[in-house]
Amino acid sequence: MTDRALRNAALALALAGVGIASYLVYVHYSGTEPICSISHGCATVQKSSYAKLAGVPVALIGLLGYVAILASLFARGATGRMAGAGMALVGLGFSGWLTYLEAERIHAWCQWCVGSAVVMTLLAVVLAWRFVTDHP
Amino acid sequence: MDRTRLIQFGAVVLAAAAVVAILIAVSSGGGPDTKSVAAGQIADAGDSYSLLGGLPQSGLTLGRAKAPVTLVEFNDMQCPICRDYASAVFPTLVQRYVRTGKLRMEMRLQAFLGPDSVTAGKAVAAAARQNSAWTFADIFYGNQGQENSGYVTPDFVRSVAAATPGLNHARLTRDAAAPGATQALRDGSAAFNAHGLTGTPSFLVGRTGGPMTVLRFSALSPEQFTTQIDQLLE
Repeated sequence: MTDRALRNAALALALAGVGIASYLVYVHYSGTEPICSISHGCATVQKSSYAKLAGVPVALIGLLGYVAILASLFARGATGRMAGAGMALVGLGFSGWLTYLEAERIHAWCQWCVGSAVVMTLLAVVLAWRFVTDHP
Repeated sequence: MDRTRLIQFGAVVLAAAAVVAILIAVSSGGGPDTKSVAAGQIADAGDSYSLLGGLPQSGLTLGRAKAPVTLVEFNDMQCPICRDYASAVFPTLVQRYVRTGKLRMEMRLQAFLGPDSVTAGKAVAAAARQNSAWTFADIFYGNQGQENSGYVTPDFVRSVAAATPGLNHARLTRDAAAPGATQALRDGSAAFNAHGLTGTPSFLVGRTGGPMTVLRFSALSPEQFTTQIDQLLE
């Protein structure tokens, strides 16, 4: 797969992530209930004590992460690729932790959070591959 | 694949793992309180007395039997959000609607968080046989410990029972070990699944004797509950 194709795939995934995270940030600050096909599982997750990290909504941290990854795609050279891969790997690890919390601590599922975890996983794979296959 | 790039990637993975470990450490601090309650150190019972004192309780039901609206709560005694509901919303609903005879509440016990949930659920079911389930549960929530830490010991249950007016602890212990308590948890679980619910607390609301619908809420504020109850009372 060419670098251009990997970059475009990452661009699409990062935009999808920005969309999901933006929606969750809106839900958090507006106090509305997220659209959720799982009987208010999203609301349960959103209002749990794990929905904030050091007082900052996790959704907002996710949004900033996606935006930063998006920005890294426009940076030239290996540093941008390394930063993108690094941030996506952090996102992958933290998404895994949040998914564990949903399953084992909160006992409710938010489809938007799971969707974001899937997007972040794909981003980590694409950006890691793009980084290791990039020949300086 | 370039060897230098692979080494760099390994370094990136290690750095990312370190950042994730820090994030998880900070996030873990957002969980339930880690307090543990020793026997005889039950707190907040006074609030429960003043809130629920004098209200009719029958089995797992609170309030006047002929109240026009019924609210069914699906709760796990270990669930921290159920505790938050008990402190942030429940008192308003009791004072505004149960005390005025407009609302009756039913409890459907869940026990899926772990062994402490089972012990606690059976204790509440046993308290229901003495028509004290709601007071017992409210005092329990006021002293809730860390999830699955093993804090729901016989001593803990005895202390909550001792703080619950009119509750006979010896009888509660017998009833908690009887098949009826297990059946109450099975019934609660069956009702939970029948309505397609996925988390606790969950609620059904409707005119008493009529169809019940899932009460939707996005935050534990009394208004999100009172609005829907008021509509049913109109």
